[in-house]
Amino acid sequence: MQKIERKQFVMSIAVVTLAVAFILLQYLPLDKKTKSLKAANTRLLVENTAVSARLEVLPQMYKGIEKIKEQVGDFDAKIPVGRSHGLFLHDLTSVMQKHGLSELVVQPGAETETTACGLSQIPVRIRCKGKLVQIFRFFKALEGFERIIQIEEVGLTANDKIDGDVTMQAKVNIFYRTN
Amino acid sequence: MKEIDFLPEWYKQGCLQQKKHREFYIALGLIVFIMAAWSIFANGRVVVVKARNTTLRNAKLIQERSETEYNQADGEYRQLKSRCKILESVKSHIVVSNVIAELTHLLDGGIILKKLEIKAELIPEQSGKTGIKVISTASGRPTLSEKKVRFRITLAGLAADAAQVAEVINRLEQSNYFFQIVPGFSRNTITGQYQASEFEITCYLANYRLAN
Repeated sequence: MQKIERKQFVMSIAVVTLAVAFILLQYLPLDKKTKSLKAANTRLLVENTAVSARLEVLPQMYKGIEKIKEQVGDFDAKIPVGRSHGLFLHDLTSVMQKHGLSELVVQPGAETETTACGLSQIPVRIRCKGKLVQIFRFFKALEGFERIIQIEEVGLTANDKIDGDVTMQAKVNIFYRTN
Repeated sequence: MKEIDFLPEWYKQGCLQQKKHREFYIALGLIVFIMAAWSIFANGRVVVVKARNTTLRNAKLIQERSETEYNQADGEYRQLKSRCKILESVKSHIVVSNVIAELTHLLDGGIILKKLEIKAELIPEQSGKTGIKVISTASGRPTLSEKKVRFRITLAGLAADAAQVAEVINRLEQSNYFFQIVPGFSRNTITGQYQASEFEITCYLANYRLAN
């Protein structure tokens, strides 16, 4: 009788030890692992959702890029890196000569920095003489230049004889980037 | 009448003890069973969560590659936007050939144009809404950049009479190219043997108004 009770006691101790071992070695680590994995999953889900949302606008963004690319065109040609004003002045004079204008004066002024856009500006004074139609064609050609030409002032004055000859004076600005 | 129990006491005690032992073993077995069942269930749950974690990690890896693409596109978009802004701030907003063509169309044979002046001028702050801008540089001289400008056009010439001058003003007012037509002066003058009407008209290029 006493022998059996001792056996029960030993078994109880064994079961309690097993239960404690189970809680310490199985339950708590597994619970901790599950919680940490669940937290990681939630974080990943949030991150993935954010990335998915951004990726959803990607096709729209590509469309926007294409649209702006069309608007911007060849930016390096419009506002080159470095002055390149020699080439511009050469082209300008060529166009004036091509359209039969006379008494050509093309005079670049002192350049200034337009700090807002990080661009440098070269003012150019143009003076020439010709018929109105020639001046019209000259401006038409000027508008076809790839480089941005900002018109600040244009003056056309007929000569005193009123024989159709017009003196044109203009002040334009061209721009370049330093970097 | 009293019932006589023939079973011995030690036998009854033994039965009771056996019953208690059985209950004890069943309870122990139940505890072990619960622990084992929970262990299997918890491990299964961990496996499922782990699998989901792996799936999410793989998805993240794929999306990270796409995100690089997104970042590149975003960078390009921003650069193009800034370039567009720069171009917008420096472009002229006037097509001189179109202005000449429109004036040639409006002024008929009876008008001799002696002077045409197109000049960019600053728009007062409260009304400025056009695209061309001007800033002050270090030298203090204004250059085209941040503030807004409009184009003032001054026409001066000779007409056969005052009625033709009025007709010119009317035509300019009808044109979509110009607005705010202001006659400067109109006076009679003698040109050679003929009497003519000398005039000056000021107006603005309409893209400033249209932009509003």
